[in-house]
Amino acid sequence: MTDETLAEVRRLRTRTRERAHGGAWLPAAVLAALVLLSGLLYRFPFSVADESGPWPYWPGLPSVPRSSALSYAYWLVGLPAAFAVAVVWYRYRARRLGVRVAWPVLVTVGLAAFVLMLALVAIPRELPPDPNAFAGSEPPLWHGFATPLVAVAASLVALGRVERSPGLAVAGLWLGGFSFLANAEGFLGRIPGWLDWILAGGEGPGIGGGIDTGAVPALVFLTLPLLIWLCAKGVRSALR
Amino acid sequence: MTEAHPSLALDETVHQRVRLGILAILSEATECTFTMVRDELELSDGNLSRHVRVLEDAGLVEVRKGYEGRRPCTWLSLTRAGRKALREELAALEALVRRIRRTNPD
Repeated sequence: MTDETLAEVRRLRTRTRERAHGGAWLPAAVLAALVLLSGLLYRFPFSVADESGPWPYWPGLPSVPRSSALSYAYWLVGLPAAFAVAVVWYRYRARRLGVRVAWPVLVTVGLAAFVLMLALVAIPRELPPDPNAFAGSEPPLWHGFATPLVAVAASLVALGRVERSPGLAVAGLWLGGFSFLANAEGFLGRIPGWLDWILAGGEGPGIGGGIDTGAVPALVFLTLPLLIWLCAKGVRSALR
Repeated sequence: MTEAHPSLALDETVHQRVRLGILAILSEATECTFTMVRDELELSDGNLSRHVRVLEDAGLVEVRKGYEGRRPCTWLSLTRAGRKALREELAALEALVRRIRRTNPD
């Protein structure tokens, strides 16, 4: 009897979980598409650029943009539009299935991260008397946060929390971590010394290095866990 | 000192079959409509209302009345206390199953 009760509780929970969280794929796919389509914003999407382009890196990564204004507009319109799609989707599902997830968390976190990023870039700073004084020196670490990709990463972590999906949260941390690294280093494909040291198993001088990469391969790398998650989700629903 | 029997940890309010089902469903979403829970548990409106009221009075479930378009809609959600009560109930049930299996291996 007790066994049967437990089995029934498990069955009810599984059915409701599938119902409530079966719609996570759409906002995840929209965010993945937004990141991958941002590859069109770079002047050298597939080849290695010799320079990083002007800071802030509005396309998302330190590589020469086709147009900084276009990149700025892309994220300023694209990210809120992605959240609008998510809101319509979740409201439709709530009406159709009678189950609601905490989608306002996703929208609030995503937009807040984006506004914070814009505010961070807009803080007035005193320019050095000689504009070339800092040429060749390391960019400040906070530059790592000055990318729209960090806002997408925060949205993915929030989506993982809302949809109770550790896979989505990991995909967000991966995207956020590597976007931060690229922007903090100010050079696409650069491996910082400490990461080089960790990858070498804690041995060697850890002087760092670099990988020759274009913006689009880098974007694919950044979204890899998210793409794997989406494929796994697709395969699972095809098998069901 | 002898170990307390797991059945003593079962909560009368939560242990009732329908109420346990309501809590199990609500534990997997932020909110569910009254209609969805009713259909899932194959209950009548009156029967579900009665059990929801018991859970609401015990502070385990929250009821929110709103509109879905022009239609009135009742949303149910689990409170923090409700989540804790369900977790404790399931732990007690699992302990009970383990104990039964230990005493009657066949």
